[in-house]
Amino acid sequence: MSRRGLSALESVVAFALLALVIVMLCTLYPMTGISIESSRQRLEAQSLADSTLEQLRGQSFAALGLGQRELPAVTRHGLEYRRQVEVFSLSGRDSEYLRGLEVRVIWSWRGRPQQLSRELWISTVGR
Amino acid sequence: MLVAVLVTLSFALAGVGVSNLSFTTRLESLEQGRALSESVVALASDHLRTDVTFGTPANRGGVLEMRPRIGPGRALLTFDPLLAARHSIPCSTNNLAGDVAVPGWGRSVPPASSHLIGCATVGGVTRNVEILMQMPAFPYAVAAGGSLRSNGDLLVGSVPAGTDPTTLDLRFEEELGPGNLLSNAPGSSSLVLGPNSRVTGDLRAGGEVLVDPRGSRVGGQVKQNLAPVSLPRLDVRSYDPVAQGRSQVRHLAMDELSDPALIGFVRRQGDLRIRDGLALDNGVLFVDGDLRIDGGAHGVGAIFVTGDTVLHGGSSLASDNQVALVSGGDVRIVGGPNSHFQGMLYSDRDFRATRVMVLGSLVARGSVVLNGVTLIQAPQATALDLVPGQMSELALPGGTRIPVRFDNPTFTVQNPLTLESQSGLTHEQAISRVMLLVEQVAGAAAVPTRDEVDAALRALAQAPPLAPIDPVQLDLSRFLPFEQRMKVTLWRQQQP
Repeated sequence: MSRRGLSALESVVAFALLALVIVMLCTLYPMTGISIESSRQRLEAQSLADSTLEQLRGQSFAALGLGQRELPAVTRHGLEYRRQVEVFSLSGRDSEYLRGLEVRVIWSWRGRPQQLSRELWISTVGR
Repeated sequence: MLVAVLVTLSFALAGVGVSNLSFTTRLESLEQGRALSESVVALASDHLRTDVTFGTPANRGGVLEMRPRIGPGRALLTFDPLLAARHSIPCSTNNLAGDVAVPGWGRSVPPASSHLIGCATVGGVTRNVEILMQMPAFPYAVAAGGSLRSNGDLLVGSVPAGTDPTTLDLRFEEELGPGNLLSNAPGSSSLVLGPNSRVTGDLRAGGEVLVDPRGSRVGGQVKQNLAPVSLPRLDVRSYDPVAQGRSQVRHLAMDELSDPALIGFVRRQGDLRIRDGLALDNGVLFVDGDLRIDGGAHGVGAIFVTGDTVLHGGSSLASDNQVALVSGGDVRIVGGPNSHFQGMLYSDRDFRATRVMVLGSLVARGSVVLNGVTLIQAPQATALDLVPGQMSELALPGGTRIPVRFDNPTFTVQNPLTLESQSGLTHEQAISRVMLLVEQVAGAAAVPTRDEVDAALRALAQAPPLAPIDPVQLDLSRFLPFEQRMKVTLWRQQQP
């Protein structure tokens, strides 16, 4: 016997599948957007951390006093990135000649604090 | 059909998100790896600062490790080939004390260099940072703590290590290497060069630099108003052989010598004047007073003067001349046509030179004034590692002692009063010379017989060689802080 059109059950299954896919798509789309935005922000933070490290490295060794300090915040794409710098001595080494630098970039997104840190030890030798 | 399209779109979106995240993470790991590798290299260079033997076969130093306080990853560096193989990392090489190039990881490591390779692993990404540091010889042809002034006709350049000075042809100035001038004096006339001043290297000054453009040329950079550079500070009195407890120090009673040839340690308490030139045969002259030399100084040796030094005339260039003159007071060199000084010149105070060619380096903690001077920096002249010569004393009947050295097969005989030496004497000539000297020193009654002198000389020739004595070492570079001496000649990062 020939069939004409879909049965009610087939239609229901088809619509369910379609609905499922549409729901997945609707969920994935913003998630992908969030992921891409998160990556962009981390890249931004990395760039800030690296440029801050380079700036610090460019200073004379004597100017890099031990301790923590906060550098002026930077705003990129509407987000504010705070920069904290710590210059520290290393265990067993003379801080006149070898020091550690740590740059922390902190920002907030979707109500949650985000942070990226970069650490570098620098020596007076060969600078 | 619609479902298929939508599913594909979903996967594409998910793929974009994942790959973006993966790219960001990898980039972060790479940058973090670079920072960690650089850090462990900095740690290794600091170890080298405190101990230049760190990483040599006698002192491998294990594995240096750097872990960040926050976050993943670590960086390693080692000079030990076995440990490098165990950790699958490149092996660093310390050849700072080497005279020849040695094989390193992927490259040859030149002498006086250190090859450091930090290897970091972060999040599955490996990053190497490789640097080659060199410790060059003292970098300045002339370095002055005060002002530096040339009144004209100045030529400053350099020649590579090992250059035979007798082959030096200054007609081809363009073949000279860079020779640098330094003045630490602040102010408006820190470094002043008069007409016809040719400097192949840099001019660095704590104040302003003035160059008379008439016939003048500066091959390097002119750096003005810079922070002072640490200059070597030599304590002349620390080289006093008596204070050092040296044996075999000849004390000079006379305040005037003519054409002496000094061997070993000679000390003069008070002023000294030397006529007809000073010859140093691995000799070390210490003068606790002022020194004046007419006729220049040549040979191999060192002169330490607590007071002022005046050097009139100069010697001709010779491949084996190397003299270090260290003066606690002013130094004045007055040359003439074909006057040369080969070696290092150091003054705790002011320095003044006229019409002389210096093949070596000049350091004055005070001001420097040059008139018609040629300064050619030679790396070998910035360091002196001198094993002072030794003379045996010929024990003769009657107690008279005559300094004699057996140079196989000839003899060198020295006058104990005037320190005048005659070398290259045959056995017979040495006997005659000794007898003559005994007569001069102790009178005719004390002269031994020919047979007695002959026997004493034979005994001396057959005696075992004298025990070696500690060398006298002078290295201008050694007095500069390690971090000022090291130069990074290569910096490379790579991802294996």
